[in-house]
Amino acid sequence: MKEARNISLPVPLSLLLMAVLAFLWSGDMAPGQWLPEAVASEATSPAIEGGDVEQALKLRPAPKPTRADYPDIGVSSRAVVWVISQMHLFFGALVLAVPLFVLVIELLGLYTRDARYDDMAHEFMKISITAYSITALFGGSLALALFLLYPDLMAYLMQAFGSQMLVYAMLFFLESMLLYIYYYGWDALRYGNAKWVHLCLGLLLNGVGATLMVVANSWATFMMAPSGVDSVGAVIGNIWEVMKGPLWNPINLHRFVANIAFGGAVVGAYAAYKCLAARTAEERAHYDWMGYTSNFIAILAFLPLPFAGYWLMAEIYAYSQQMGITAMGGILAWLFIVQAVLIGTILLAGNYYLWSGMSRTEGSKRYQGMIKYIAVVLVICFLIWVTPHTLILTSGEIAALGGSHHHLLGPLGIMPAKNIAVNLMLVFTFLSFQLYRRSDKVATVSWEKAGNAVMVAIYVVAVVNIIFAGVYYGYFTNTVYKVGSSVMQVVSTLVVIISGVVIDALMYRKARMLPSFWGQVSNRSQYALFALPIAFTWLMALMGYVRSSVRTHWHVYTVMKDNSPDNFIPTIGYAGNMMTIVTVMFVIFVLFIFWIANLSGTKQALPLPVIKKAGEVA
Amino acid sequence: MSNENMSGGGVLAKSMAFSLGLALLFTLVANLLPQVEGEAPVEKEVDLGALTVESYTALGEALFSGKGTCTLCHNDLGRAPDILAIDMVAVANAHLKDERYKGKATDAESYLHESMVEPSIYVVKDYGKKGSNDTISPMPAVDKPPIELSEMEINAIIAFMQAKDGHDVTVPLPTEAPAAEAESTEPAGPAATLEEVVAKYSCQACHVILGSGGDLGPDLDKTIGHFSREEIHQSIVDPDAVIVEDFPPGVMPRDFADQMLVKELDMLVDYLAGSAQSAAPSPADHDGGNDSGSGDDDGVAAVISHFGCKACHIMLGIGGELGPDLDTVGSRLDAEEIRQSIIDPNAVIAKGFPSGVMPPNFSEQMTDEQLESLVAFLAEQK
Repeated sequence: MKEARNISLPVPLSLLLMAVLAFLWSGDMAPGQWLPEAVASEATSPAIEGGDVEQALKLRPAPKPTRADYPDIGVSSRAVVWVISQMHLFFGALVLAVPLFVLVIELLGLYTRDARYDDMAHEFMKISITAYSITALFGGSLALALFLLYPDLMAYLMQAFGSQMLVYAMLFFLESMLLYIYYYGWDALRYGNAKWVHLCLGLLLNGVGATLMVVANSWATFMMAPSGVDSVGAVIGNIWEVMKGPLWNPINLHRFVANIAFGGAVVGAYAAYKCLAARTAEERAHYDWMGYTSNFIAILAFLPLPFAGYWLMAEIYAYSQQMGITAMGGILAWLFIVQAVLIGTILLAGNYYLWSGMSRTEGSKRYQGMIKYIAVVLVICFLIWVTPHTLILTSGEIAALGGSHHHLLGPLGIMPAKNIAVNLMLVFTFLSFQLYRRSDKVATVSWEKAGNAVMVAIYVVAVVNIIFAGVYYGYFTNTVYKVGSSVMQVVSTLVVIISGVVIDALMYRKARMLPSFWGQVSNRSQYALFALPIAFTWLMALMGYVRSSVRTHWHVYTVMKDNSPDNFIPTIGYAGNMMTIVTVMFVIFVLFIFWIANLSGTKQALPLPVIKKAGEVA
Repeated sequence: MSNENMSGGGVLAKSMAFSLGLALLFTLVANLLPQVEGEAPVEKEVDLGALTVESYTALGEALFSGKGTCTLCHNDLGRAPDILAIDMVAVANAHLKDERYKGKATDAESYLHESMVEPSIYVVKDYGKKGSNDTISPMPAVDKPPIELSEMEINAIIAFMQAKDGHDVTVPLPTEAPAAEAESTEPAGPAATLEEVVAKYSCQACHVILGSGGDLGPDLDKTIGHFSREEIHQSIVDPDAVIVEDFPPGVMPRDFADQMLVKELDMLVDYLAGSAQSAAPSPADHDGGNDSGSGDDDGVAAVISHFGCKACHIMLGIGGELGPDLDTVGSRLDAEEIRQSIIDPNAVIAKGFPSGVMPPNFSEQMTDEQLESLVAFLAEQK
């Protein structure tokens, strides 16, 4: 009965969302009636009255709202939408990502016949199911806020995307149904052929979820790089041309991968919370294992993320160099120092958790000596990454420094140095992961030494290549080669990761396993699992700020200007405060989810009179 | 190392404190960095009559680093030529002599102008878009969104580029009236008839219209009545938005929207839409005569078109914003008040609009019939 409460929220909200969209899109309403004043006048032109309404509406340029067309609610409309949309995105990312790796874990359980995987997957879904309700709650609030506070923009987006938004609402319905059947049918479809039915449901659920995401992404990327419209914003393409802007697929990939990392980090925090509060050794061992698995998912998804980000930025530069430079080298450049702090925190916390986890097995002693060197490399790289290029200095400080840039630290502030740092951090994080994976195994293959030699050689060549490409092309050639060199570095990092996975898979296929004790880990290590979702959440909020700010004073870049009182890029300090507000709000809601998840597994003890009565009957 | 487990409440408190502390640490970092706000460009009022070469050059410098966003790329980081560090007049003259140069500029000033509005005409070696072999510039046209510099602003930047290295400023100082208009060889006044519009904008150079013309563009006489007003309007002001099959894009000039008066545009659109045959002679009855359009037509569309109401007012969804929007005027004024506002426009001035702008002599120009049809029409606009 308690779990049934979860289902009661989203369906009415879905209906509400549907109703709002259906109302706005009612075919019975004459075009123009629902349009805000700024565009309505055009919708009553003779051509439209003449009959060719659809064509005339299509060719209508983007509205040009004046300051007076934005409702004044006494507080910043942008701040309101900022908070709600960010919360919707956080929970949306969680509910899209969790079913994805739950499906993989469920499949793994079927393959290994280990019931622990199945139980863990089911428990992950318990978190997702409450998160889904909250996602819908914020989604409905976001739609309401946007239509109320930015009516012209929403009217224009409706004009551009048309009935696609209705498809989105219908997909939302389908997602709800599949999610509940998948979760509540878990035990009913657990064995034999029924399990395959359940897995197919999971696959469908993820298919619909991914479609929802890419549809919603198309609205955001249209605002950044509109397609299917002419220079004044009149829609001249079909819905497919409007959706497939130059940034759509890069954002799709980036969000898909980032969602998995984020989802893994959040359920990792749940496991850490349960591990710390466990009352029995078995319980602690279970949640320690769950935390490890979640961290594994989060870090594994996180490692390729910079490459997806690289593709996205390359496409932004290709679409508009001005937009790219605004993000990377203009007014927003400083926030990449904050990004470095956040990613540094993620990598250091992830590594620390792996090193702490080595205490679970005796076999780890073989590798513990290397940890301090890995730590030194990570810290040095982290410091290079956060070194700014341009300093805000007084004239006295410039004189003392001998110029606007420090002669030693200045060169560390530019991208070639940072590319070296980030790639080395990824390579050495993978090394930590590889050592951890090896620590409870002893290889039995005859070619172990040769395999290790090849692995060491790959590491050495990759590290040399990353440093050489960064230094030579970064400091001794012009800009064109600087950009090209980062591809060499990325390939080096990927070669290490892929070859490491392949070599270890072959080398440890029939390995002798050493005893490993889940739960035998320090409490402190569990806080690393709290650090990951905090940093991920803050990072997502930061990237949302960048993605939105690169449009500068445009609602839809180059075709619809933002004339609202908030049409400026806020300072990084203001944005940072907003990010902390949304992060703290997210944490509070997540704790609520954890509490609900606990509550659903809690049974009240029989009251004493009932026990007595039962005894008397017996 | 302690593996002792805490109570649920203790874990909750500690994990919350840890999470909050970490979030505040990130906030601190964000607040320690330089705080810069990215203002949206503000259109500054420039007193054109008071401009000197020095102030015009200074305006160009401000635009160069401000609204023009030139310094985003043109700096010492190697993304684009560092304009501040090089003599742009000398560079322009050198590029004009380069065999790769295919533009129409003849001197440094016109080259600099061309390089801003059509940056891909000549791309400096190694600065082209990736994969384009220096044939496509990554620079946006500065007269288009998102930068949208006006002609006066572009010239101010040219003046700055000329003056910074000690060259003479050759661009003309803007005056109260746009210089292009003053120097234009085109008829100074608005075209009064459709024939004058067609002649003024040389439509027949490319299109068959009013019975004759070239074949570089579609035969417009054959399209009469086939397209909506909106489509025709768009095809004139944004000709590349939709291209007719078998005709190349980019041929028709894109600046008709800047050149044409609303009245002229309306006349052309009316004719091509076939919705106001009376406003202009059709190809069938066109005899080359000059219809003064002074009042024989009693259709309200023709009245609006003839007296150029849309130049200042929004009517039927289209028009200027110098005067009040007349699409809802019937809900604010009755017929008598509307009549008065046409006959004596300065008697009562709508809130937020200046007096003395609307010509006071419409009553002398309009026939009674025209005036009454306009009043009746406007009174119905609610």
